[in-house]
Amino acid sequence: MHLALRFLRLPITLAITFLVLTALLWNAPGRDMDEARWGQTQTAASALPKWSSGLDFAAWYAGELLHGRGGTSIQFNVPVMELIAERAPVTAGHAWRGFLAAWLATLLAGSLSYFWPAAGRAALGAGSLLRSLPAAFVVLALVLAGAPAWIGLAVVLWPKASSYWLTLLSQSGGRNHVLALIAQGAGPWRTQWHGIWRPCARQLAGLLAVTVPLLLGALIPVEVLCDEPGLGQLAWKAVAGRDLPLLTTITLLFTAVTSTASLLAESLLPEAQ
Amino acid sequence: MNRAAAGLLIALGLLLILGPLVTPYTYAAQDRDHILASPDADHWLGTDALGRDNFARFLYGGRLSLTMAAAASLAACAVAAAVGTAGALPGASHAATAVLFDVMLSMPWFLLVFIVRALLPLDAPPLTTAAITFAVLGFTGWAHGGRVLRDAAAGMAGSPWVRQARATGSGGAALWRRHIIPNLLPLLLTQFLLLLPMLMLTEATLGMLGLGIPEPLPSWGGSLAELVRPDTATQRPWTLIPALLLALTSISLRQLAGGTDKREAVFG
Amino acid sequence: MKHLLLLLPAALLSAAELRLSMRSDPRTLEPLAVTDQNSDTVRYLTTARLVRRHRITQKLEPELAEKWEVRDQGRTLVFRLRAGLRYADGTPADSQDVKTTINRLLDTVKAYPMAEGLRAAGIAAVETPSPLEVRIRTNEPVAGLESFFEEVPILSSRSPLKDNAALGPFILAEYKRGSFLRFQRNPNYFRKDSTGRPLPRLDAIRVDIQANPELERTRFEKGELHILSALDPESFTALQKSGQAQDAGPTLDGEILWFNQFPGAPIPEHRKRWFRSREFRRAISAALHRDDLVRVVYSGRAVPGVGPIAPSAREWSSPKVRAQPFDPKETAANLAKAGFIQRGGQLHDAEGNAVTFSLLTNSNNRQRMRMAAMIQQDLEKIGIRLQVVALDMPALLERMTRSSNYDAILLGMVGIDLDPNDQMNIWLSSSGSHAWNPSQKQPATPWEAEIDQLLKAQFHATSPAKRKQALHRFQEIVAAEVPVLYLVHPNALAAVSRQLTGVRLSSLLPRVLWNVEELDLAAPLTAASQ
Repeated sequence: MHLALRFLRLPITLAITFLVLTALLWNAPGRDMDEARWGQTQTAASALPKWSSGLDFAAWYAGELLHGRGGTSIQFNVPVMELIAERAPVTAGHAWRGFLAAWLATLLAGSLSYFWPAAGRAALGAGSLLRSLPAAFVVLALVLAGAPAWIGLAVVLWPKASSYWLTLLSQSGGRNHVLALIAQGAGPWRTQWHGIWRPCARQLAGLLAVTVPLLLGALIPVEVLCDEPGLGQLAWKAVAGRDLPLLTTITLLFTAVTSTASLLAESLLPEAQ
Repeated sequence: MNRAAAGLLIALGLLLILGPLVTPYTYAAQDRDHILASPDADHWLGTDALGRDNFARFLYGGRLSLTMAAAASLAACAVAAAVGTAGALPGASHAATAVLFDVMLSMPWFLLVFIVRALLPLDAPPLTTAAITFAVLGFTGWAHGGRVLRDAAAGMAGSPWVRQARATGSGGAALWRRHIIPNLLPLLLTQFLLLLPMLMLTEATLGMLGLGIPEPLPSWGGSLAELVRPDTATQRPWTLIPALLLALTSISLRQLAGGTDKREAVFG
Repeated sequence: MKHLLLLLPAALLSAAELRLSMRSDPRTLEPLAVTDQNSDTVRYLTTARLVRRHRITQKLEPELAEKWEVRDQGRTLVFRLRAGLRYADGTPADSQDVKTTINRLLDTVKAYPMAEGLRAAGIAAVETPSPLEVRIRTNEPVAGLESFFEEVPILSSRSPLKDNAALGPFILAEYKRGSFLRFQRNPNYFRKDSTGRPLPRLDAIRVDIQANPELERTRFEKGELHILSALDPESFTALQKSGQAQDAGPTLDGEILWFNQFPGAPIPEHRKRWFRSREFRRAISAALHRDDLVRVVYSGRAVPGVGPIAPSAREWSSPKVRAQPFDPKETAANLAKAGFIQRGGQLHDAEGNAVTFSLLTNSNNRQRMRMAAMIQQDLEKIGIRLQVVALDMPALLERMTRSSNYDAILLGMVGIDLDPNDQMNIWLSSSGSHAWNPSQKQPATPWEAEIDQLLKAQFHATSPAKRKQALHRFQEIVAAEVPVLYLVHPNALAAVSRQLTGVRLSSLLPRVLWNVEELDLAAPLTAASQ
C-alpha cells in the first residue's frame, strides 16, 4: 500500500508540472512570435496555431496525450512524437555512454582508494576541481579538443558520482564487520567484496538513481554546446521558440524520468526513508 | 586545509573590497584605441574587446557574482529550510514536499530566466536585472538543499535524543524550535556554502548560453563566455584568470562546507 | 518528411562532395513558403528561376528564360524560355509550369509571403501563347517587374514528384532533421560550361546542421568543412593567416537603430515627444561614432551605415547621401534647437525631464551587444543615460510588433534583394512592418506621405531614370529625417577551403553558393575528413 501510494506520486507530479508549465508558457512574452515573418506585411504572429487561453491549450494538450500524441511542433511543423522519436536515440546514445563511463570511473576510483588512499584523495580532488568549473566550460573545452559529447557528460557526472560513492565507502570501511573480516585475515579483495561492496549494493543502486536527474540536467548545455541533435537541444530550441506543444512534451518526459529515479532512490537509500 | 580555504576567501574578499580603490578605471570605461591589449603598466590584466580594463571588470564582476550569489543562496536556503522542515513531518506533508521537489527539479529553469527577464520593465537598472537573474537561479536551486534538510530533519525527529526530549514533556512547535532546528543550522550553513558556488557556476553557464548578466555589467561568468572561442585562451592566457579564481573560490567554499559537515549529503 | 527521394545509393556518391553547414534546420522544404535563409538555401540549390542576378555584376541574366522583353510601357513582360528544359525526373518544363507557379503564388488563401511583391504589382493575366513563351500582364506599369522573378522557383505542374521535382543544379537526396541535408547533382540541369560540359561540376553537397559557430570553425580548420559563409570579424581575423578568409566588401545588410514613434505606445509622453523630434534624432545620430563601431566591433570589416539602400547597391544608391559622421557640434546645435539643456552632467528636456531611455536588442549576438555598449558610452558623453536591455528574439518581437512597449531598438536588417521594391513593406507608412510607427491609416508626417508617394512612383516608373530619381529623393528624406539610424553595413566575410575552386564571393546572398554550378573540388576529400 505504502509502495502504491509512493507510485501515485508520479502521475501527481506530472499533472502539477503540466499545469505550472502551461501557466508559465502561456504568459511567457514572445509566445507565438515568428521571427521568420518579421519584415513581411503580415504581422509576426499571423501564421501560428491559436488557442484562446491557457486552459484552452491545456485541454487541447490533454486530449492529444490521451490519444498518445503531443501535438504538432510550432517551429518544425512536425508531430512532436515524431521529433522525439527521431532525437531520443541520439540522447540515449551519449547518455548511456556518459552514465556508464562516469560510474565505471567512479567504481574504479573506489576500488583503488581501498588500496591506495592517496588515489581516493586524488580522485576527490580532481572531482572537486571539475565541480568548481562551470559544466558548460568543461564540456566545450572537451568538445573543441575533439572529444565526443558523451565524454563531456561523463566528466560532468563523474565528480558528483565519485564523491557520493567515495564518501559511502569511507563510512563503510570503518564498520565493525569490515574490521572483523580484516581481523580474520581476509585479503583486501575479499574484504572489499564481502565487507563493503555487497552490503552497499542497494545503496549503490540508489546512488545510480540519484545521478539520473543530474544527467538530465547536464544534457541541455552539453547538447546545445556540442551541437548534438538530441532531446536536450530540442528542449532548448523549444524554449527559445516558445514552442508550447514541444516544450510541454519534453518537460513531461524529463519529469517522468526524474520522478521515477527519485522514487527508486528513496526506496533504495536508507537515509531517504 | 580549512584554514587555507578560509584564508583564500578572506584574501579574495579584501581584494574585491579594496581593489577598486587602487584601479583608476571603472568597469564600463572604454579605451577604444587599446582593444584586446596585453597586460601592461596601465592595464594590469589587459583590456577586452571594447578596450575596458579587465582588472576593473574582474574586481567589479567578482563583487557582483559573489554578493548576488550569496544573497540568492541565503534566500534559497531559507526556502529550503522552510519546505524541508515541513516535509519532515509525517503523512501528507512529506508526500506533498516530495512532489514539490520533483516538480522543481524537472522544470526547465532557463525558461524561467527567459520569461522573468522578458517581463522586467525596460527601465529596470542592470543591477536589478542581474539580481533577478540570481534570484531565479536561487529559486530553482533550493530543491536540492530542501531534500537534504528534509531527510536530516526526519532523521532527527526519530533520533534517541529527540525521543528523550519528548519524554521530558517537550512537543509540537517547541520541540522543533528548541531541539531540531538549532541542530539543522550547521547543515544549513553547509548547504549555503555548497549552493553559493553552484549559483556562480550556473550563472557562468547561462552566460555561455547567452543568458548571463546584461552588458555593461561584468561578472566572472560573463568573462567565461569569452572563452568559448578556441583561440582566446591560447592567445590571451590572462583571460583564464577569472576562471581560475572562480574555481579556487568554489573549491574553498566546498572545503569549508566539508569542514562544517562531514557528511557528503547524497541529495546535495 | 525525413528522407526524400534517394536517386543513388550513398555509396555510389563520388568523393567530390562539397561540405558546409547551416545554423539550424530549414523551416520548410516547400519552395513557395520560404521565409528564412536556410530554407532559401535549399530552394536555391534545387530550383531554378526565370532570371538570375549575377552577384558580381549585379545585373539580371538569363536562367530558364533565355531572354525577356518589356512591352506596353511596362504593362507586359514577355519571357522566352529555353528549349529542352527538363526536371530531374525527366518531366519537361515549359510555359505551363510558369503559369501554374505564378497562379499558385498568387493564391490569396495560402498568402505566401514571397508573393507580396507580385500581389502589389497587380498581375492581371498570365498567358502562354506557346510552350516557350510566357506573357505576364499587369494593370499598371511596374518598374523592374522582371526582378520579381529572380526569387520565384518554377515548379512542375505535371511531375509525379510535384514540388520535389528539381529544376536546379541539385536534388535533395536525403534530409535527417537536426543533422544534415545531402544533395546530389541533377543530371538534367540545363546549364553547360563554355566547353559544353554539363554542369554542375560537384557531384554532391552535404550541409550539416551546426548551431555552434565555434565548432563550425574548428571543423573548417580541420578540413571537415569547405565553406564558412557567415563568418564573424574575429574569426575572419584568425583565419586570415591561413589565406582562406575572403572579404567581398559591404553587404546590403544594415545594423539599425530606431525610436518608437507609435502614438499608442505605452511609454511616457515626454519620451514620445523626444523621439518624434527630428532634431533629437539627428542629434543622437551625430553623437555616435560609426567609425569606432566599424573599427572596434567589426575589425574594420564594415562601412559606416548610410541609409536604406546600401552603397553596395550600385545601381540605386544615391551619391549625395553619405554616412553621418561623428559631429559634436551638430549634436549640440540640434539639441539646443529642440530645447534640451545640460544640467549637472545630465541632459534635460525643456520640461525638465532627464533624458534617459532604454535600448532593446536581442541577446546572444556578440556584435550587437558590443555596439549597444559603445552607443551607451557615446550617449553618456552628451548626458543621456541609456539602459541596454537584451532579450531573446521572441520577447523582443512581442514588444516590437504587438505591445509596442519599447523606447528604441537596435537590430539588423538582412538585405536579400538588390531591387529596392524589396523594402516597400518596411517604408510604406501603412505597412505593419513600418518599424517606428506601423500600420498608419494616414501618414503621420508630411515626409512619410512623401516617402509613400515616392515609393509608389518608383514602383510604377516607366523608365530607369525616373525610378532612380524617386529613389534618390527617398534616400535624401531618410537621411534628413532619420527615422532609422543606419549604423554600419557589415562586409560579406567567408572562409573558403583551398580545395574549392570557382568561388566568386559576393556581397549579395547567397554569397558563396550563388554560382554553385561552377564550383568544383580540386582534390577529393580524404577518408580522415569523412
